Amino acid sequence: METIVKVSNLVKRYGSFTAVDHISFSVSKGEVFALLGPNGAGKTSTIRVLMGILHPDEGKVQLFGKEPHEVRHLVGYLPEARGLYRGARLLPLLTYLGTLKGLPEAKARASALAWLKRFGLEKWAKRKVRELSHGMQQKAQLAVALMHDPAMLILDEPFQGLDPVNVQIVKDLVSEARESGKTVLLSSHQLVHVEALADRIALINNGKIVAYGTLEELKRRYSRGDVALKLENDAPLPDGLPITKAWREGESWHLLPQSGTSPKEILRLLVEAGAPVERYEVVYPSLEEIFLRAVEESDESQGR
Amino acid sequence: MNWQKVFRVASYEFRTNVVRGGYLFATFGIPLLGLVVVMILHAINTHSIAKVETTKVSTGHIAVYDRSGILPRGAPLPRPFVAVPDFEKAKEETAENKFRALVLIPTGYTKQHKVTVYATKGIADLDNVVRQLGYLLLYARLSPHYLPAEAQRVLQPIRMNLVLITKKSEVSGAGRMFAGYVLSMVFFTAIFISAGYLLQSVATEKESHLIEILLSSLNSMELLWGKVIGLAGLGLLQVVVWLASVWYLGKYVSIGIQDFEMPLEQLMHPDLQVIITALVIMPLGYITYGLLLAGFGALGDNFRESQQFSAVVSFLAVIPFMFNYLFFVHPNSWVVRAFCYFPLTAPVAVFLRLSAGPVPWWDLGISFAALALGAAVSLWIGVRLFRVGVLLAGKRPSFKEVWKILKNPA
Repeated sequence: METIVKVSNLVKRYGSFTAVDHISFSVSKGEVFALLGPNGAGKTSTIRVLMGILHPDEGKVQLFGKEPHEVRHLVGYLPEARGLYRGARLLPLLTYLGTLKGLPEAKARASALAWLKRFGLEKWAKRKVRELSHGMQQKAQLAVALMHDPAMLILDEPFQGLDPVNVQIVKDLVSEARESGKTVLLSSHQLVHVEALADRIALINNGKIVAYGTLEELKRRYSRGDVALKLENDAPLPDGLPITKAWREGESWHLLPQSGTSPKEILRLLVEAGAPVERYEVVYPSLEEIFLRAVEESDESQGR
Repeated sequence: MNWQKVFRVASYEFRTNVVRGGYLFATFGIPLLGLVVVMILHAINTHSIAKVETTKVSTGHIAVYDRSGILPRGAPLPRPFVAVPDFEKAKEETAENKFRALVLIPTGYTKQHKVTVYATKGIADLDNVVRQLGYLLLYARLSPHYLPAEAQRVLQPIRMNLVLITKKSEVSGAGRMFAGYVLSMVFFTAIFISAGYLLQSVATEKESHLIEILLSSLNSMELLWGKVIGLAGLGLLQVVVWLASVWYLGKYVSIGIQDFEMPLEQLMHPDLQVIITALVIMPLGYITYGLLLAGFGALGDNFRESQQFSAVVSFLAVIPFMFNYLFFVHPNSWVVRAFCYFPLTAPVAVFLRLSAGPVPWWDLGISFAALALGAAVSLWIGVRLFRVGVLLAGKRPSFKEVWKILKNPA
């Protein structure tokens, strides 16, 4: 599959502080790639380098096989820190921003109107930005990222400050983009949304990638072999199971096996003990748990 | 550099700022105010000339008691003065408001030049009374007859027309002085209004967080140059409107400032040196100030902070105005030359120096070269600060950090 983004050993420093520390990853065409990490992890710096806004101190970044500044017109960007001129009227402003992406003025205006219509903002086209609600402004900014029909979208914290309705709009847009073969790179704190959208994920902490792969791969890698178990007639747990911890979750049990014990081994012991197993399920960690574990491990390994 | 994008930014900046209330007022309101001021000055001038012909103390006589013998005995005094023979009686009558005032010319007047005025209340046009008394006393010495009104008009303060000459040329000194001074004000104001808009534009983009969206479409140099060009258009339009207003007014109005007669129209006929200086100083001055202000403006987190950063630059620019006197009286002094050779004071200083008279071309050349160097340094500093500053958020960098940015931008 065609590689759209290729980041190799990227380093970005601000004075003596290293914000991005030798990270490498790639994003394929039509993929939704998520860059996750706590505040100050280096996500936004990485994205700014990808957009050609910052220059890398070391390493190489390529978009569509070229330098980022050469393909700005192919990328739609929604930055984390975003806003519009508050005193400007919406449609002329969007038209202007569209022309900066290379659209002729008439086309930029038509495209801006089409996106405003899609977001239910057509009645606000001649109003000043300051008259729009926060949510409306967020949608207008999203329109700016989309109006030149880019081959790739880079969305930095796209769900930030959005209500559930607008969150769904963004999720639908990302899904549509993937279906139409566009590439999406997004960063977010809201892991629940990312979990539903991302094909592959890179977790960044302290400027380094601490986990990288598909969601499935990460779930397997960070699984502790947790087990959800339901016994018939609320029967007690048999003694002598090799578990570290067990707790009730409603009518079920959640078991945390001892290190080195597989879920299969637990199941075998339960059957041998004659436990009336009604439901038995291996529980994989959520993205949030993976995130926390990866950050914790990374902090420990770096002695923080 | 993608010039198409640069001109799109320039066009947007021009179109959005040209309709701002503040700009419209500065561009069209100030000439209108100027018109009002000039009309008032014109009216005052006309009135003051007319007044000489008709001036009379409107009510009541002023008694004069002469102990010095300066006034011819027995000769009648012109209105409103009345010679009185008895000082004490005249004083009583003044206290009873029969006279507006009583003037005592003492014995030693010719040595001391002092008179005493007795009055029951302040005299509204005391200056006028004293001036007329002065003429009275002077003419009394010169002529056995008091001078007629025509002679008084001739002796009104003289208005001069100064002509500056060299072996090859002859220019109106008043016109040149006025042109130089007015042009320094016009260019200074236009440069700073445009540079101020540049600062505001940068600060607004940063404050509104639009800057990253813009920088995802074009690089910081393209953005900065677009702004510089677009807002230079504002400054240029302003200068054209102002000078056109002056030209229009000059066709009808001639104003007097102090002792000089200054037809405004002379502003439209400046000599070659003033024209060349204007053509060089306007763009270089704008680049010098504009880029510095944009660069420092980008360091602030909002417009107010940006203004604080740029206040230093703005302050330097107005310093020559504080030394006005030196420019007119000692235009070739080392202080004046220093102001003309320092890039941040040169735009104003050179025009002020030109007000006093022709400046050697080599000397002017040094100023132009210094300003060109200043523009290049401003470009270097402004672009570096802008590139890094626009992405700084929530933190005002210290001077040490600013220095680091200059040495090693992103």
